[in-house]
Amino acid sequence: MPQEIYTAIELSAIGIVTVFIILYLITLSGKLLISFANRFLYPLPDETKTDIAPPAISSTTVAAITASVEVITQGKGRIVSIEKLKES
Amino acid sequence: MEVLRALYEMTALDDLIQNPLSLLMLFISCYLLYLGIYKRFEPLLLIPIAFGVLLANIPGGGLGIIPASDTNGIMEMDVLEIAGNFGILNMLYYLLIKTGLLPPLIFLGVGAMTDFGPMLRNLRLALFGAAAQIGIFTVMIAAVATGFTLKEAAALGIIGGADGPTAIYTSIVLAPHMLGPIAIAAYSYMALVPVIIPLVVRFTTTEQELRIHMKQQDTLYPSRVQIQNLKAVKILFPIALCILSGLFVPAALPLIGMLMFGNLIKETGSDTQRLFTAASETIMNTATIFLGLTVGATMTASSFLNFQTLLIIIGGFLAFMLSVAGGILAVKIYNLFAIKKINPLIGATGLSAVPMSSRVANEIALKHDPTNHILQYAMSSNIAGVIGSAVAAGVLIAFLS
Repeated sequence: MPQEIYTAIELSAIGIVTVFIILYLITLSGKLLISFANRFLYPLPDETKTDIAPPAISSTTVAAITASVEVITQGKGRIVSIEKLKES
Repeated sequence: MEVLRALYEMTALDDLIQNPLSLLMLFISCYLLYLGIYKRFEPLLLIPIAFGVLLANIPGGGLGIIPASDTNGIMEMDVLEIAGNFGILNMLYYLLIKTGLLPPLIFLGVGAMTDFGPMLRNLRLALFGAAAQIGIFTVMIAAVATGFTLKEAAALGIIGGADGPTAIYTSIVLAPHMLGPIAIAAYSYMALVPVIIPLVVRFTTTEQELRIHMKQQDTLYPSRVQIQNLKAVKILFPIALCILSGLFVPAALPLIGMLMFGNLIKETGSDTQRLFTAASETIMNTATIFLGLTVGATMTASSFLNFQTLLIIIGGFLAFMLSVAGGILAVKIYNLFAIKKINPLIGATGLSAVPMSSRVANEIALKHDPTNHILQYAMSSNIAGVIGSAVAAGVLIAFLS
């Protein structure tokens, strides 16, 4: 039993350190990819882009709508366009 | 009289009288169905699991999963023989669960439904997804101390990752005889996230900490790098992440690889729309049905009604609580040294349970400050938690299997 506990402690130390290292590397690779894309990759053509510019919507509203859609559709939903409804 | 006797023998009543514990299991299955249907505790999985329990415990139906042993020689049989000798649920179990196929397929669907956008926008918060895995390892040590073998303790501890498919996958590889109770505990506690997180938060944080306004902190200390081409980064990210985690923890690749593939076909856009739809709907739903039914069918009276199940339920709960507390503690330590403060609720969402943990954390933050919307920030550590628990599972599998 003491040997098994010792192994469990050792394994826990290895496990938690590995998880930290992997997630740290992921954040690092994410930063590198962002820098790489900013520097070398032109924005891909937006499939949802239309010729007519929509009326300006504040970034706060867009963020709120995006967050709501993500939560409600569990990340499946995509926003194709955001339009202000005309008041009748 | 003979006819009546034959009729009685055809029914399961005699078996039920001889094995009254089956009645208790039927009661448990009905209670789980109640939780899934009326209380809406993870209904997509709890209802199939509960129905699997019900099917397995009707005597004479022959739908309960028979554990593989040297005497029944089930591991040497082909699929048709298993179906013929032990019924269709055993066939599905040995074909889909024992081979470890279904959890990675569910990860494929989860990947297709995951958006790495919030994580990419708040990369530093992803590290708290690691701190929240502390419950897994703490409970593993405690479980060994209470008499579980190392493999069993690891399978039990992984409940603290709050990730159902990961818990099931680890259990299949390390302790298949504990699969039923572990699946039930994992999904029940995931459903109880709205109760568990506020409970831990109440005892580990102060009012002042909960008022830390994430957006204000961002305004005061803006990020130095802005993402100019999010679409390209979102496509490159799952590829890089798959290579990275695959190289360091190859044992986690069945889960993380499928997660990243699912995400890649989502982010590629209209060119892979059909694959995305198949992964996020058809495959995900089919896998969920078979996973739930077969895992439920492992819970026969003889395998479920024992002291070990009680320890699994208690251990799983402790693992969950410790994981939430671990994430919060990590944020508190970070805040001691950092100028740009983080709301400790972000640490609490280092559990997987996406997006429920984030939603719960957001609600708590809004209660303390109605303008403090932390959902996008919480999603970062929440998604990192999914990767973190899969990596933790990979480490345990690599060392113990």
